[in-house]
Amino acid sequence: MSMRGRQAIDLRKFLEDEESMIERDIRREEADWNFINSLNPRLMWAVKLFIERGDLRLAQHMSGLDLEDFIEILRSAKVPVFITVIKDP
Amino acid sequence: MICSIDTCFLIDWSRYRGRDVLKKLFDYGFVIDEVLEEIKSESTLTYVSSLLAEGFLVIYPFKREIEPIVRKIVDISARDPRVRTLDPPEAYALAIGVRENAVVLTESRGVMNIVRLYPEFSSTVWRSYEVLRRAHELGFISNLGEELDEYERETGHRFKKVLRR
Repeated sequence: MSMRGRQAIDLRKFLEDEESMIERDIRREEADWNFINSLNPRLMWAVKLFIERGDLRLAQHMSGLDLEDFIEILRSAKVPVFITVIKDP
Repeated sequence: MICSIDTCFLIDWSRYRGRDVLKKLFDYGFVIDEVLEEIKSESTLTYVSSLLAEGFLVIYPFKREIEPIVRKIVDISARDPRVRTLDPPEAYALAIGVRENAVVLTESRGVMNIVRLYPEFSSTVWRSYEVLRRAHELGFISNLGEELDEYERETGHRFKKVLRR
């Protein structure tokens, strides 16, 4: 692989990570941690997984709940479910 | 213009007061039965039922024909760590978008990542932000900034502006 090709891939990964980090920071900041820590262990770890990874389906499967029920748990925990990072030109 | 809609988009969008703008942007939207099976809350059920009753939402009739595409999409999401987990409802929405040249309406980062990383699944993907922006461009929304604020308040969605590097 040429150096130029490598740089292109690295930059793409960097941009993806930057968006993911921004989203994660918002989830961490807005989350009601007292509520989250009061959940049963399975739900607590599923919510924490979502906060860290932002992977809704993965966290939903871990929770053992249907999608809308898991989203309701996230809303109760004050965790924003959907975040859009808008890049200003 | 037609669209293909997944569960997450409907759940988020159903809480938005201005949700009828979708019907001004698209002639109709495809959905699959798995999406309908996933919705449970009153607000989402009420919204989706009304869209079905009005004939805006149509159950995709050629589901079996796109199963090979869905299989590929789900396989990629399982083995490529850059793509987040995709379940069949999102995979079908994307496959319909690819097959029918429909705009895919989703909030799934997994769908966006697959489209970005795999040219064979090239498709137009809109989140609520792109839908609102298009509605603004066409004059259905007068002030985009105020509408985004309203959308945040009503749905709990977050729009975060960052400077492009």
